[in-house]
Amino acid sequence: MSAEPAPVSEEEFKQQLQNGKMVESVDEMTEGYKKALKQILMVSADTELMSAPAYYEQSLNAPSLDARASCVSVIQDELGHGHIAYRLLEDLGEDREDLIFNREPNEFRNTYGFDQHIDNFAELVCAHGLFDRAGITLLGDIHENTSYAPWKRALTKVSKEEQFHLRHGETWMRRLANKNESTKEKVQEAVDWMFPIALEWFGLPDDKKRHDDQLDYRIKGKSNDELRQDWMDRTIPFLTEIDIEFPAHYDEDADEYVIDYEFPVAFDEENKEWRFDEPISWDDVIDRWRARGPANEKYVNMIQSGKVDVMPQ
Amino acid sequence: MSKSSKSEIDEMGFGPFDIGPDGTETDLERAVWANLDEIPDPHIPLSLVEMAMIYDVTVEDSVANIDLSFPCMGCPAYEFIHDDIRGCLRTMSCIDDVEINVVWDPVWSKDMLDAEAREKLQESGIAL
Repeated sequence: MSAEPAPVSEEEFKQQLQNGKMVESVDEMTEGYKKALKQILMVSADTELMSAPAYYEQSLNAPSLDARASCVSVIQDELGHGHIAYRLLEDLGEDREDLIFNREPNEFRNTYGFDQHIDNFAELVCAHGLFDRAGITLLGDIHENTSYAPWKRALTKVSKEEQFHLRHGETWMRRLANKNESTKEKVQEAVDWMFPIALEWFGLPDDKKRHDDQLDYRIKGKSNDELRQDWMDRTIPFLTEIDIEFPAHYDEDADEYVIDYEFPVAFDEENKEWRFDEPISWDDVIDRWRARGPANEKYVNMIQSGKVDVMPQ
Repeated sequence: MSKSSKSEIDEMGFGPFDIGPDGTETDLERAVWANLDEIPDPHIPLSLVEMAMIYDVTVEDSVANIDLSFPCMGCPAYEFIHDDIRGCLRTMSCIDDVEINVVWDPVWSKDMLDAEAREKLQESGIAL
């Protein structure tokens, strides 16, 4: 029997990780690390999975065969990315089958953006352009900085595929914005409700977070505000180029993008409208997320009803 | 019928693969190959040349003729790849126009990938 290594405290482990230590397997983790890793992997897996039903209907409404092939391929990629994240969760003791098929809709931890109905093709390509950009921002940071080696390796493929989704989204956003006033208006309407959802996606502002285990354990490398800035840094020049409006501006003195309303604010889910004159607290935002959005049950049912018993017991 | 090995392709008369530069290229054609090798596949971390999608290149009267094929009929990046090739080659001073011929024959196969390409795919988690 081999000697057990001396247990390290959570604080010592955090220090080792900050000094560059990489983690290969569950045997090397502290309980705190495992918990923090599971939490972020669950959000990532559920977000990838739930983007598939969210993207499905309007993918079949694509205006050309090429566009449809691209849209369907995006869905296939997202399911693959979900599969990777659930497979990583299995290494941490979770049951993939159970996670996908035996949870209630409100138990899924996907981002709130994929609890919304996507009602036309312009909304679909704006989701590819804005939401997949948010995904790339978050996963790109993890790919570069994470201490969990299996996730880092898996993200090479994921990052490349997400870039394709983004290119597809931005290509079509540009086309629709340039085609005529009517198609441009559809893009503007989509950006109007999706831009603030993407801003919320990155979570609590840094000054409202007491501590962040995911940063301390170097599961990710950048703070919520840094990631939000990164997203705006990429998205805003593109929206400016295609002449689409958005509620933020660049502040020369602060040398960063500043949101043009008192962030966060109330959201009218039914009409997909932000009430910019109605500021709320982050507790309210988290309550809204936990209550899940209007398409949550439909999307989870689309996934779960697809199960067939190919091997009857 | 699907082909899963080089020997099967040989038996069907497709091999050895007559694709890629064969040493008879002009300097300009070699430059076109080099530029095509800089175009990334939009979906996979290899260039179009590394992906063995470019079968032949000829240049006549400042027109680049590119024979290419796709790994699958419903390629999700069909349009992007056409755009990228045109966009890339039109920047060359001796090229005035680009003709892209999607040939489908020989059928693209994983066996067309060389050892270096295979290694890059495996490193990025793509099974062959």
